[in-house]
Amino acid sequence: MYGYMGKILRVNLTKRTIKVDDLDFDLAKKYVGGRGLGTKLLFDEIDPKIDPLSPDNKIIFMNGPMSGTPTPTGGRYMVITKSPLSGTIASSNSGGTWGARLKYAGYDGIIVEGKSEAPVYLEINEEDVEIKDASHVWGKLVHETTDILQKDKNTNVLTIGPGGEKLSRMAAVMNEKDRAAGRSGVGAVMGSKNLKAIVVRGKMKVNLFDEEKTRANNKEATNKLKDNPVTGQGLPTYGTAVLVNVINANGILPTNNFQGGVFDAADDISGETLAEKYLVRKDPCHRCPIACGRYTKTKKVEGGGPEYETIWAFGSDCGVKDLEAIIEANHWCNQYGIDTITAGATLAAAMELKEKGYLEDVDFEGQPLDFGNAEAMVYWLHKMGKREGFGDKMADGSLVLCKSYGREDLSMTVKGLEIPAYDPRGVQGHGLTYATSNRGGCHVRGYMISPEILGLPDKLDRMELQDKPLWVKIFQDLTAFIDSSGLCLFTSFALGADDYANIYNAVVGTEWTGDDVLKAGERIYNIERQFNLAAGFTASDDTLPERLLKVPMPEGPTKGHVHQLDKLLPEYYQLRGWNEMGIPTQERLVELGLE
Amino acid sequence: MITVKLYAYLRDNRGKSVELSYEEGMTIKDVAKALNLNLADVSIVICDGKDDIPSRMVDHPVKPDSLIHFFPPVAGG
Ligand code: SF4
Repeated sequence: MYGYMGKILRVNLTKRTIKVDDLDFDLAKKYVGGRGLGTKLLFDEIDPKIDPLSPDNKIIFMNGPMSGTPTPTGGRYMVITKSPLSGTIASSNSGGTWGARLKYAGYDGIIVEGKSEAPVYLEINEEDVEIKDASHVWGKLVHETTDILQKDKNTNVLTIGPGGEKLSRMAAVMNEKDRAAGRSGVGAVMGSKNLKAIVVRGKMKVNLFDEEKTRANNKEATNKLKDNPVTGQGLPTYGTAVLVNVINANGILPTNNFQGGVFDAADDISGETLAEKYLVRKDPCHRCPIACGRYTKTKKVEGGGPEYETIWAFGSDCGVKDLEAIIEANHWCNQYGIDTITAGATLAAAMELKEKGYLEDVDFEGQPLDFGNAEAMVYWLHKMGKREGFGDKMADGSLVLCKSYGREDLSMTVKGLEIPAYDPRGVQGHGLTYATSNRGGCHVRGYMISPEILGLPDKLDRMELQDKPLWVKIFQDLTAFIDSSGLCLFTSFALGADDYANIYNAVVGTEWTGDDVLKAGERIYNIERQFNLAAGFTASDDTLPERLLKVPMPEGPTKGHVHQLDKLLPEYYQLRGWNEMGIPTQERLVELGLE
Repeated sequence: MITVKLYAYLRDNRGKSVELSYEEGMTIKDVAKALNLNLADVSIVICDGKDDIPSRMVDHPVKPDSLIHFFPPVAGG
C-alpha cells in the first residue's frame, strides 16, 4: 500500500481498549482520505441523529495520502465528527506537523469512541499506545499543556484548552500550540469524552509508489508555488491578512456584525500593518514553501497568527481598529482553544444585541460590550473562554446567544456556523457556497473569492449570477479532494486538478486524471450531504441570514445589493443532480458509486 | 483631485496614497503611467467601485474626483 500507512487506530475510552484496524485500500482510494474517508467511516459508524456531545458520537483524526510525504504542504489532517455547534457533519482542517507525525507513527488516522470516566490523554509512540491520566494538565491552557506533554523534537502535541473541557460549542482542537482545527466545535467533542490531548511520536516513512516521479512532481509544484505571485510573494510577505484592504475596497468587509461593508480603519488592521509593526517571523506548516503563517509579538503577547479571518472577526466585525487588541484576542483564543471566527462573531452579535437594547439586565462589570470597545472585547473574550458571567452565555456561539433573546436573526450563521469575513451581498457565488456548505457558514468549502474578487484563475463579475452555480460546484468538488488529500487549500492558487492527479498518482499508484479528482470530490460532497440529510437537515437550511437576503447593503461599492440566493439555488441543485428538495437523485448516487 | 490607493509591495517608493490632478480624457492607463506603475504588476484595479483586471480597465475613464485602488496579486482565506 502506497501513500497510506494501512492502519487506523481505534480507541474506546469507555472500555479503555486500543485496537488497530487495517485500512481498506479500495475504500481509501474511493474517498481519498482526510475529510472524505473520515466522513465515510463516521457515517458508517454513528447515527447522524445522535447528540454530538454524548458518548455515542465519535471523533476521527484522519490524514490524507499526501500527509507525511515530501509533497509541498503535505502535513495537514482533518478532524471529523458530528458538530456540537451546527449538528452537521464537522470536518475541521489543521496544518502544523501533527498530521504528518501521525503518519510517521504508522497510522493514517485515529477513531476515538465512548467517554472516559476521568480526564485522560493518548500517548502514541509507534506501536506503543497508552491511555494515560491527564489530571495534571486538565484545566491548563493550550501552551502550558503542550510544553508539559512535549517530549522531544520527534513528538507533536494535539490538545484542547479550557474551552473544550467546558464543552464550549466553539471549542477548537489545537496542535503545535497555535495551529487550529478551529471550526464547528470539534474541541468540545474531545472535552465530552474527557480526552485532553493526543501526543504522537514516530519516525517511520510513508511508502511512495513512484519515488522518482514524486520527486519530479514536488519540484514542479514547488516551482509553480514559488513563481506564482500569490503563493510566492503575497502570502509569504503579508500572510492571509493581505486580504483586509482588497475586501474592504470592494465594500464587503463585514462591519459591526454585518450591518455595513466598509471599515474606515481597514488599513490599520491590514496584513501590511501587521508585517510592518508586529511580525517577528514567518511560521510555516510542515514542508510548506508558501509560509503564510505569522509569528507576531506585541507588548502583551506573542505567538502564532493572526489570520485574516481572525483580524476581521475581532476587528471590523466588532468595530475594533486596535490591531494589538486583535492580536491579543487571537492569542487568548488559541490559549483557551476556541475558534477565532465564532468567538469574534459572537462578541459582535452580543454588541448588536446591546446596541438594540436587549442586554439592559446584563452586568458588564464596567466593561460594556459596545462596538469599537477593544478593551471590553478582550475582557469578555476571557470570560467566554472561562465560561464566567455573561461569558458563559456567549460560549456556545451566536445562535444560542441570539435565540435566548428572541433575535435569532442577529446571529450571522448558516446552519448554526458563523459566516466568515466576506459579505455575500457583494459576492454572489461566494454567498451560494455559504448557503450550501455542508458544515454551514464556511468560506473554505468553495472559495469563490478567488475568481469573484481576486481574479484567480479568471476574473468574474462579482454581482453576475450567470454560470456561478457551475463555478461553485467545481470549486466545492476540487476543495473536497484537496481537503481529503492532506495538502493545503492554498496550493490551489497555483495548482489545478491535473496537477493534483499527477501528485496523487505518483504517491498512491493510481492513474487518475483531473476529472477523476473532481469526481472523487463530488462523491465526498455528496456523502457529506447525505449525512446532513440523515441528521435532519433539509433544503430550507440551505439559506443565508435574513439580513443578507433582504436588507440592501447600506454603503460603499456594494451599496443597494442583497444576495440573490433564490435565483442561484435551483440551478445549483440541478447541476448537483439533486431534486428540488435538495436530495441527491438515485441516478447521481449510482454515478458516484454511492448507491 | 484623483486619489490613488496602493497596497502591499506596490507601496514601495510610492506610499499608501497618492493624489493626482485630473486632466481631460484621463484613463486608468494614464494614472498608472503617472505613478510609474507597470500594469503587469497589478492584478486588480478598482475605480469608483468598479473592479476588474487591468487589461479590461486600461481605457476606463477617470473622473476629476475618482478613487482608484491598485492591488498586486494577493489572496488568502
Ligand atoms: S500555505 Fe499557510 S496554512 Fe497552508 S500549509 Fe503553508 S503555512 Fe500552512
